[in-house]
Amino acid sequence: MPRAAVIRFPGSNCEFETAGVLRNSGVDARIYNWNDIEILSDNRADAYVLPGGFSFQDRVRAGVIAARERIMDLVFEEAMNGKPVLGICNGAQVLIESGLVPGWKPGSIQGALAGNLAPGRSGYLSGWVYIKPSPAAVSKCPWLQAMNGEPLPVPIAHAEGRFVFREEDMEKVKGLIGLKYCGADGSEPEGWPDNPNGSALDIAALMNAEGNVLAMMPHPERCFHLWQVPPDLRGVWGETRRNASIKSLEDTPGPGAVVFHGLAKYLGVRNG
Amino acid sequence: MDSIQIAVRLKTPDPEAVTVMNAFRSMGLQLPPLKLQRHTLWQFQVMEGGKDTVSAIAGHFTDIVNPNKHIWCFAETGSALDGEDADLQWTGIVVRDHQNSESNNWTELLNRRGFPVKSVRLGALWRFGYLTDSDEALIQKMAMDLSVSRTRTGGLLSNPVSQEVSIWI
Repeated sequence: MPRAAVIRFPGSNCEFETAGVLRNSGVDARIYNWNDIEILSDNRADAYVLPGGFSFQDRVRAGVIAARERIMDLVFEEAMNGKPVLGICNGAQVLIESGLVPGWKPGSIQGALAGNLAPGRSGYLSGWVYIKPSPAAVSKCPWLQAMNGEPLPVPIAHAEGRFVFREEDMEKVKGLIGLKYCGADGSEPEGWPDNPNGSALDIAALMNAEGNVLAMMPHPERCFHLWQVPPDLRGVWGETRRNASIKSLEDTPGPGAVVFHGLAKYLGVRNG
Repeated sequence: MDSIQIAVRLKTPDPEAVTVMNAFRSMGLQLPPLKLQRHTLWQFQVMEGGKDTVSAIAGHFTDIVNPNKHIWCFAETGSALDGEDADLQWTGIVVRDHQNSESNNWTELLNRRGFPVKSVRLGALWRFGYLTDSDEALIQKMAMDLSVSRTRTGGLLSNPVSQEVSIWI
């Protein structure tokens, strides 16, 4: 069975559910601490996930201290070898601060996940948003290849989730968009709240040029099961949740499952 | 119109500064700073009342200065800040976001409460303490190098894509 390594930093808090949904998708998942570098180095995984949370208490900038930990040397090396790497929320911040995403020049910091920008609001924001993949991402990103282009509701929970790039890089960024925020019907967002943080180009997830590394601000592991979807959610998924029987809720995948099923498909343990 | 800045810091040792010092040590610097202090830097464009207005703001909003845990002082460039070790030579780095909701929201809030403030700008002021016989230009360069994250193994305190950095002289 293929194996995924979930890297836990001090302050990570989503490692157990992330490992759980990977296992549920058919991928053996193990949690490694940030200082388990020798253990992990001797037991390389087939994929790597940096889970959500507040690594090092978000000190200085979210993700920046974790990005400089030695274990990220290994993740960096594996990413360069083409292994799938996913950063969720704080994990995405670590990937950006590691220079793995956008990664035009790997190791150079060429993007930022800055503080949320919304009218009359500042700081931490949590709620449900809709996302949809870019066609390019579905064709080359292991994590997104099981998506069909339909808008998906997913939870967000962050204070620093606004993708920012230099003006001269904006054209290049368009080719790396993994997921975009959208309306419940898949329409272009008209600012807040569809785009909850003021992210450039409405980006919810960005990949590297090869597509194997994905930095994703929403939390797909928090909506892996249908029972995690709020019944009052607008759109098809809310309706599906409302109409589901108690018994079917246990086994029915939620909107976020497609991310982990995509990896399982890529690793050959799942067909679709 | 007066531009008045205040620096607010914790009374207790700042855990963020401790983390940064640890990170600096792991970077294997030849000449790391001996001390590092972090302040939140509030810059107010005040339309009337000058320092009295800013003192009133600092005394009114515990989100800015919580007297149970914070110490604050007026921060004037070129001068030492209250509580700094006189045996060290200090240089400062200011990090500010290019765009920041919090600054705009504070401006609106203060106006609603009747404070004559045109704008508020938030930032972080990092004070690096070096040996007193250090070359000033050299320590400024070292502080700046440590402050700008251009690579994942380089500086630490600011992301140049979303933040601006300046020397606090």
